[in-house]
Amino acid sequence: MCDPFTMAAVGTAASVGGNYLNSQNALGNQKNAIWASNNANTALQAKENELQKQSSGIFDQTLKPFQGELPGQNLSAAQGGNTAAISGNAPTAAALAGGATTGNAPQVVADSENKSIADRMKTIGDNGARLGALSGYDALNQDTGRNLRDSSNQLGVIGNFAQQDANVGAATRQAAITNSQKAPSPFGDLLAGGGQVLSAGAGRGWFNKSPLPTPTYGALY
Amino acid sequence: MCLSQPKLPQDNSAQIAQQQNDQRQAQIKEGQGNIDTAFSKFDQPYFDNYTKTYEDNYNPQVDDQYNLAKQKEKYNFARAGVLDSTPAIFGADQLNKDYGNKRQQIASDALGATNDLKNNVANQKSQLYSQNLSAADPTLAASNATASAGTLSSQPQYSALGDLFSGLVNGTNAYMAGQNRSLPPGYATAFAPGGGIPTGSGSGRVVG
Repeated sequence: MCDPFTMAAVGTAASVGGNYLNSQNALGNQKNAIWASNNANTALQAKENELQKQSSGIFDQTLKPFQGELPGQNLSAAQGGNTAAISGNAPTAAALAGGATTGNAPQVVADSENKSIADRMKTIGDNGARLGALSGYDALNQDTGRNLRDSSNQLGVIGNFAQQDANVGAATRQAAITNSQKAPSPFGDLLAGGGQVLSAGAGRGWFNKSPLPTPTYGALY
Repeated sequence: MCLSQPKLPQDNSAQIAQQQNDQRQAQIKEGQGNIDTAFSKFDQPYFDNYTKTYEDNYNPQVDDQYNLAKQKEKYNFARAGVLDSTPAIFGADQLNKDYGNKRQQIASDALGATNDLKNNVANQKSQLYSQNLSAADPTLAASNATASAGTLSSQPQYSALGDLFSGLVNGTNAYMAGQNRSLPPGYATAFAPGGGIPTGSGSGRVVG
């Protein structure tokens, strides 16, 4: 049973087994690292996707006033609002009366003044509408600029979050990989080392049961 | 026992970083909420009120100057003896035109000033958002927002209106004076260039 050849074979097998255990350990660690890395990347990706969805929503909302019928409608609304505000501050016909006539004015003169005031009220109204239409462009432009700035603020915050998440994500990934690693098992090395010792011992004759007969040197004569 | 597999120490650095990041993001969101709350008073009614306040400041000045000019012009018409006449109606209409334009210009200026105010508010808010990101400190963001919101209303300078109608009244006055000095059609002054003693036949005769 414990002949040198058997022990050499057992030693070799133990050495191979030990090396196999070590390589399995390394392979397991490698697999764990890949899984940990994938999981960390997936978690980060999910976060980034959520932020990206928020950004897209804000951007779509910002883009909306520039699409379809809305630009024209918004301009009309701005012009209408400005025209109403400007025309609303125009003087009344009653305020314009009495600048050229007295109570004793002949009817024809009074009628003439009334007509003059009515005509003037119309031109004032027309001027107000023109001024409102003109300033409506500026009002809409400035309103658009403020909306853009507002969405830039929000997108800036989301971008900042995404950047920070990416920075932390890299560290998280590295830590996940580190934490997924197992310390190498001592059994592999022990087995391999023991096997080698066993093989070497067999070679050296540690396991010879009956040593070869020792030659005797006697006198032949 | 001593051959048992050794355990590696746990790397908690990422967990700590993640916690700090979550905390920072929560602080930024809280800071944003504080900024939005502080600026919520700058709504459309606030700006509408500003527009009205602007008009209320300048309208009485225009009205006062118009009424004064109208009265002066009416005196001028009376002195010229043209009250209740077509020239007076024409003169009054020119004054009314200027008055209408000025009133509407006030409204237009009010809208422009309101837009400026909206832009200032948006700028301040934008700066605070930026500061909030850097500081990630909601308490600082809130105090800055309150301070900014408080100082916004004291920026523009409002000058009094100049004399709006005197040029027109003086012009009308000069026109009426000129009308008074002019001779009726068919008469010419002997001293005007190219003028001379009227010629032709008449019913008068020179005696002696």
